[in-house]
Amino acid sequence: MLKTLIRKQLLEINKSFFYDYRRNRAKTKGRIVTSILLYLVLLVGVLGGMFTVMAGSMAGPLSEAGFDWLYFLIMDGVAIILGIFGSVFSSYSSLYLAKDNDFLLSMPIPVRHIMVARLLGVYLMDLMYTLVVLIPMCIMYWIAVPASVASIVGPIVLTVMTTLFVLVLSTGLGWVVARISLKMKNKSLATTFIALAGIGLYYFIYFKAVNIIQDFINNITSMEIKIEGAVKPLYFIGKTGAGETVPMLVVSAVVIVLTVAVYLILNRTFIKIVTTKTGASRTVYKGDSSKARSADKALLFRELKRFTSSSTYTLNCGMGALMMVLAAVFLLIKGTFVFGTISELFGGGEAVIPVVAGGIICAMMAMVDITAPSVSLEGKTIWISQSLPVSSMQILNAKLKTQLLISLPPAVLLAISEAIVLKLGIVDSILVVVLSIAAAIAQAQFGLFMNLKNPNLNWTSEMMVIKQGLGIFIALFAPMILGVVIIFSGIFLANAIGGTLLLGIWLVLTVVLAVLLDRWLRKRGTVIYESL
Amino acid sequence: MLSISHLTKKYGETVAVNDLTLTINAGEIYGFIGHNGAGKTTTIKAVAGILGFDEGEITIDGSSIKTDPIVCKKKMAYIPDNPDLYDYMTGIKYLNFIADVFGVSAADRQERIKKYADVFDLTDDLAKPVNEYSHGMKQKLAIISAWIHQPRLIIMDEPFVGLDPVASHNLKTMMRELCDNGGAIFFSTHVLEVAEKLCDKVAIIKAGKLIKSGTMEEVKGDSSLESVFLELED
Repeated sequence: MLKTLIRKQLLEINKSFFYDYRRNRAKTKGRIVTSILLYLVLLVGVLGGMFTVMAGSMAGPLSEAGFDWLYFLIMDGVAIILGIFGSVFSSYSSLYLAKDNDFLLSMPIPVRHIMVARLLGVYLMDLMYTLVVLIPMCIMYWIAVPASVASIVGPIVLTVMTTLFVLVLSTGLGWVVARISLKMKNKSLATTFIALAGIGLYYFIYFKAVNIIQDFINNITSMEIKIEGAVKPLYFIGKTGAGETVPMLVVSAVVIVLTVAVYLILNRTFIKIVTTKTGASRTVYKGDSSKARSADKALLFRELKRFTSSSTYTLNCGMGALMMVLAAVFLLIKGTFVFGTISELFGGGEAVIPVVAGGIICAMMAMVDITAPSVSLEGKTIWISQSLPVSSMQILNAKLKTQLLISLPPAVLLAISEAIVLKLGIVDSILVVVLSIAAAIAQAQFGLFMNLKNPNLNWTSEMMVIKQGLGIFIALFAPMILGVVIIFSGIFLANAIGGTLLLGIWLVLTVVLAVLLDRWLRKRGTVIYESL
Repeated sequence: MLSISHLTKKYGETVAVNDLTLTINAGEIYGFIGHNGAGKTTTIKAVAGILGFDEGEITIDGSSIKTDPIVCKKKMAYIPDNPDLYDYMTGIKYLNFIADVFGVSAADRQERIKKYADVFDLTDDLAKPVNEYSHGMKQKLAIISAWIHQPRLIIMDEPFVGLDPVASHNLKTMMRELCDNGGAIFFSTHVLEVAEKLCDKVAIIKAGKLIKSGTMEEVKGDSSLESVFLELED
């Protein structure tokens, strides 16, 4: 029974990557190979490459200085952050909101089997993100230090324990969200706030840990004993990676106990959470005084309602907007510090700054991908849109406008903050602001393009289309990588050809991309939408 | 009003609808019957403009669903066999959304919502989110949304499934009224007694091909529709 459920879970994941829902058949071998290559390039090549460089630059020096544990602590922290980003906002949805819950519960299947299959889905997402950091962490360490049992076993144990710890954090938070939202009327809003509070708490702890590590690095000779006493868990995590027996045993025992405890809690409460229908509306309709709206406004209202009605959708696809606002506020508050740091970083090379500023906006914009699952999310209700007397482009435009409403104001705000804090010239300021607008438009179009190329209307959990699948993956990471490329182009080229010119080139390229995507959406995109 | 001419729809090598020709005139309730997988839903979806087809033509008041889909859709409403509606809206918000898209004035929609929601005993529940609705309530909401913009043609796929007896009766009355006022209805059903009593004309489809059509009297003669259907299916 468990095998069947796991096979079903894996089949769903496999289909979300390698099935052509538009043509209702498996992707051709060519498309599968292309998909795998794209994954390898984006995930292993670019992200993995970034973390390999990061690990490679630290592994040798820190292990030579006897601070192997610090190397593992830093890399592990990054892995946990990425893992949390990858799975925390989707665990509630994958565990409790699958459409086949009632069906599975009506069958003679032990609840623990359903739970294990669901957990496997969350764990795979967690692996996909954490291993991008943890594998380079292991490999670069093994290259840097002489082989021994401790140096081989330690990183492996830390890798396994880290992935389990991320699973505990994300499913634990998913459970808390589920318990609280049982009693809430507006579940989506409650879930969004609880998840944000949870992630805020995690980052607070993380940054506290970063401060401690920073203090340690600044006072590297005197602080090891202090760290050992004050923040023993951090030290133990690092020492686990270094292969020391006692920390390995303690960390493993703690993580395993936590994993088992969370599993038991999830298992015991699953039926109650899934089958309790509390918070049902008792409102009685007493007439309506709504004013008539135009068809375009009605379609926009529908998209906004869809976006805000699901915490999974709001959190996973709108997070970047919140981060851009926070970044803008942070810049305005800590302007002097940021300006000082950046000037120091690029001392004598002011041309770099505007390009980096533009690249940062583009990279952060990638985290707003509302359009990327917007077609798939219509699911079985797509007949409504298709039977309405509106053109497909009107429907697609409503999706684009929704994303722009969410992403454009924070992007422009961040651009203006950057212009003020980094003391950019008038031309550079205008270019950064216009680039932020062009990037917001292109990002919205690109998400829609990817979704129309890889639609999936037959999902059992909306998480499948919000978080999994080739389209969503590329829609998220490709623009992020482009942002990083813009930043690096600034670092390496701005001094040679001038920051303003380089920024102008990126702006023109972004506008050209937006124009091309607009043409594709109008010609091919509408045809694909009608054929779904 | 509705003309289906030599409609052919293929799914790969499988021919789902094969050279089907039908005409539905104003004032007619036209029943469409056939066994599971005969091609009813495919035909209905093609008429509603949500499924492309390979050959043939479908026109509504002379406008082609292929070349003038918006003109055609403005004149008709479609209710699918399974009313998957927007779970994230309340009933009233869903109705207002449909009314907005079809350009129904605020005064007209309020009057019609009150009228039809009362008919289906759904008024009190309109403020509830659709995800709290039962299957039957969703079906009622889909029916109200179809009638809210007073279409001339209504296409329905198994409209009576999930409805309680009172709602079924009321729907039949509404169907008759719409056709008496110059509209037309084309719907599929497995309930042959309903088709026999309600329809002015009926078409029987088998393996994608139209095997019999015409007025109820022409199709069933002195027998019952059920016996004719079973005979043709054999």
